[in-house]
Amino acid sequence: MLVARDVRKRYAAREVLRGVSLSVAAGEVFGFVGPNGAGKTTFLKTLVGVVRPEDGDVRIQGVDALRDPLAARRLVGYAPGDAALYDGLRVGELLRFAVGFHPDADLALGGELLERFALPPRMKVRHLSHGMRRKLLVAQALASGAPLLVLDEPMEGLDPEARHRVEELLREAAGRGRAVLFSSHDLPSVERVADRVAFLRDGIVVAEGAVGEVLAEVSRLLWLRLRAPLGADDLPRAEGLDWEPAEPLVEGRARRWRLLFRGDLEDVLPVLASLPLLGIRDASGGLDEAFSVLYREPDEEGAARC
Amino acid sequence: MLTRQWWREQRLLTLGYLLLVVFNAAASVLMWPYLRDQIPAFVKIIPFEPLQQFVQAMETDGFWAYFCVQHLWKGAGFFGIAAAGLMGSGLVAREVDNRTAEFLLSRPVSRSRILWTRVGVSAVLLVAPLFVATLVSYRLAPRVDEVLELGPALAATAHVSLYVMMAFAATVALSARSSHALKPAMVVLGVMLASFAIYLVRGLWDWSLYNLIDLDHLLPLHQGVFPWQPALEMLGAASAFLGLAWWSFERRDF
Repeated sequence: MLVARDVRKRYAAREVLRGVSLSVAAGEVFGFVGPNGAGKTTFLKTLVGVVRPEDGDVRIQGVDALRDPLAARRLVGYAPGDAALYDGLRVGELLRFAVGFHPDADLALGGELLERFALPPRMKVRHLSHGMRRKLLVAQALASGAPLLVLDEPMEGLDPEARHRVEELLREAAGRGRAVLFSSHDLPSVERVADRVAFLRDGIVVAEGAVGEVLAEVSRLLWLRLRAPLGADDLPRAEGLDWEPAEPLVEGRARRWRLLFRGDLEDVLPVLASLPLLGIRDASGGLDEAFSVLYREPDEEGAARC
Repeated sequence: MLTRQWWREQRLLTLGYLLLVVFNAAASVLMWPYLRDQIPAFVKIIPFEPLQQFVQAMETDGFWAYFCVQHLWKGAGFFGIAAAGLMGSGLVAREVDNRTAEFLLSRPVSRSRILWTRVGVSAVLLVAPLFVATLVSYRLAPRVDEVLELGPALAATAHVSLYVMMAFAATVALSARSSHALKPAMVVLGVMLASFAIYLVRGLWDWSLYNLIDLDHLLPLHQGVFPWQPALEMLGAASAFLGLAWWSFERRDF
């Protein structure tokens, strides 16, 4: 449904997207995760032609979105993240305006969604709370009838019940064969809803795959707590082991260390047997931890990698 | 849908502008008898030479010159320009300022269609009140024992409409590159104000944009002579500004 290859975008001296590639299939929910400023919103904007990338290729159902953005937009139900709405319109009017340009718009579904979200159609948009606006944006994207849904932070500012409802709707949409791409900081939501996930950092996809695969990848990071502080030279050395202090070094030593390893865990554990271990855990607890692993600064906590 | 949406956003401004130009035209016509007999005295007390020439033209060309000065040079030249500045300024920049641009531009509608629909609707909203005020003047003229010939009056209104459209197009060109709703209007209105000030200064007035719609061009219309040269200049400038606006809008990231 959506195939993006090597999408690049630069604002003045800053390269915001440095070759982002991803694909979303029909019937799939794809979570797009990244910290603020990673380039998520810029990437989503390129899909609907609001931002023009310098380079790359974006195809939506085979339509070249960069050469023919209008044709591509007809295939996308888009819910912007931080955008404001026309405050002077009523909810129902805004819905009609939003989906009116879509060839397969389903206004009946739109009305149903307003009801489901408890959004009064005659209420002025200016009187909507942040969460209600967010629901309205989701509703209009779904009611567009477009085969690809692109939603920028759809869960942001929603209460748990509304979040759950949006998650249900996204799954339902995918169940009907639509492709869903959404960005989020709400990692538990991504974990619940998404089939696949991509992590973006500084304009680059640093990890992508099925949620389970990404978690498996991330579980190759171990946190070790030692009985006594050790220096980098005291740690076991082997091919594929990458040590990093997890607390500030005191006289070149630390009690907590992070270990990133390649290969299988059973091959690594014997190497660790010589250490005065107090505790050990991996980062496979969920996407929250994966997020912290993938976005940790290489030199954070003031220490160099060993 | 785009037409309706833009009309909704502009209707209050349009209503205010319509009331101003119609009130200005109607009040001017009804005040004509009080001025008519005192023109020689007025000429002596008016400070600026261009304005003195206006009043002298009223003495020689009568009600036609008065109508051209009051409704077209003053009414359209001020209220029309102000409305054009405010309407043009909001065309793109207000969407950015209000953070609605992303929502609008992500709809499956081309940027060209958005721009030209808004330009078209704005052109009607800016020009129609001028013609309405002209028709009001035409209907009121007999009340002050004058006759306003409709043909020349409409032709003069069309000429001045080009002036308003030129200012509008310049504002749209700035708006297409701006992110602040009022900045383009401030720039264009500042230029027009400076242009008006220049018009009042002997030696500089030839450089004023207000020359394009002054009596040198409007008076001959009464004899059926249309000022094609300034009209084409204004049309060319408006087209160039709109072309620039379109070029900028098509290429801009939001």
